[in-house]
Amino acid sequence: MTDNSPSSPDIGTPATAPVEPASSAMPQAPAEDTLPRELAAARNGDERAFERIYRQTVDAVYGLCLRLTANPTLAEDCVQQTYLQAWRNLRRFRGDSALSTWLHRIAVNEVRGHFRKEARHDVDATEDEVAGPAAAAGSDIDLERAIADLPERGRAVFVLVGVYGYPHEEAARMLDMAVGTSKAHFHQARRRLQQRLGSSR
Amino acid sequence: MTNDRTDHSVNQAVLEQAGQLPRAVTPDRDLWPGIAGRLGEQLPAEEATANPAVVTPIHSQRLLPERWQAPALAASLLVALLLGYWIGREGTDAPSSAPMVTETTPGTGELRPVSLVEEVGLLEARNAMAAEIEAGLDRLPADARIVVIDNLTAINKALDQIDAVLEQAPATGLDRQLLISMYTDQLARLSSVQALVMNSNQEILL
Repeated sequence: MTDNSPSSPDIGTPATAPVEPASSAMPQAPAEDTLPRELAAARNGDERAFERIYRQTVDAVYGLCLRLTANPTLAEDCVQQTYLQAWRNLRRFRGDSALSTWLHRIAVNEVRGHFRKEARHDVDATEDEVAGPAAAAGSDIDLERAIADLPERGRAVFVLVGVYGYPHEEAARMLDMAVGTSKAHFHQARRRLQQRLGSSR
Repeated sequence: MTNDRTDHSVNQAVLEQAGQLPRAVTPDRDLWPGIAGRLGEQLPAEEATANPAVVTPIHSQRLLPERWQAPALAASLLVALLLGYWIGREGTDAPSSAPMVTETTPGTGELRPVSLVEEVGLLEARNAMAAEIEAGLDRLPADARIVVIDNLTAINKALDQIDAVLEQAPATGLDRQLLISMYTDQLARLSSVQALVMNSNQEILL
């Protein structure tokens, strides 16, 4: 079975941090080397330190929430919940993974929690609310829109693996599914994107 | 051949482009004031129990008591073996590019796709399990019932998606393996829920 994840994540590597694609075009990760001091202070209740952590990491968390929800308002809610959960659980973050990965896990959990509630209350997202990051340019807009139109779980897997470069193991862990299931969703999502975008290339 | 090459290059282009999308996106407004205003809030009891996964490893949140994990795993393995057998049999009977399965509707001569789950008799098994679970739902504590209903909703959604995919596109061998992997995952969850209900029944009887 082949795996064509864009960043070629090694399936066997420990899933402690996103695998960064070897591309100079990729955005740099937050400057986490400055964060341990902030973390220590925030753990002791220093809200200003926690705000600095928020300022350094929020764009990456919002980007993930926006792509997972395809809804800016909902993404903002999930970001706020993510940082509230992070604040309440900072003492339990032991640094086994990168802070950004930990925040992403919480964010994914918040988004999943929202979708669970939505399913329970049988509330469907309205089509006109579906949106991806608006800052994308050129053909990136088509891709963002195509990703936003993917089914919920396929979109989540594709965003985590295809856009954020997480290995399937980590994506599966975040989404509480089997690795094979993650691969299946990725395969389906990739095929849908290929079908949708292929004709315009 | 040319189409294959075109598909492959489009596929690669999509993946490369996805990998180069900006990961960081700045929110339209500053979200910090909304967060800062709630940092001192006490965690509501409902939220504290509803969202434990923030710090708890996912695999330690299993619904099942330990004594039911082995039977649930065994059930999943059995299903996987059955499916594996079915894949192998199909692989020898038909080329991988052939449409998956079709059958003739009695009296009409019309060909229609046969669901994967129907083919291996899993649909009946699933329905039986679902009925058993549904009958036992009222006996579960409220919290557990919510989790069970959530899981059943997810299972049904996934099954619908799988069936829709199988009906729309003839599957290749690889597709089948991937879809079956997803299906066995869902069945494993169903087995877990069933075991939970059974466990609940036993405790009530005791």
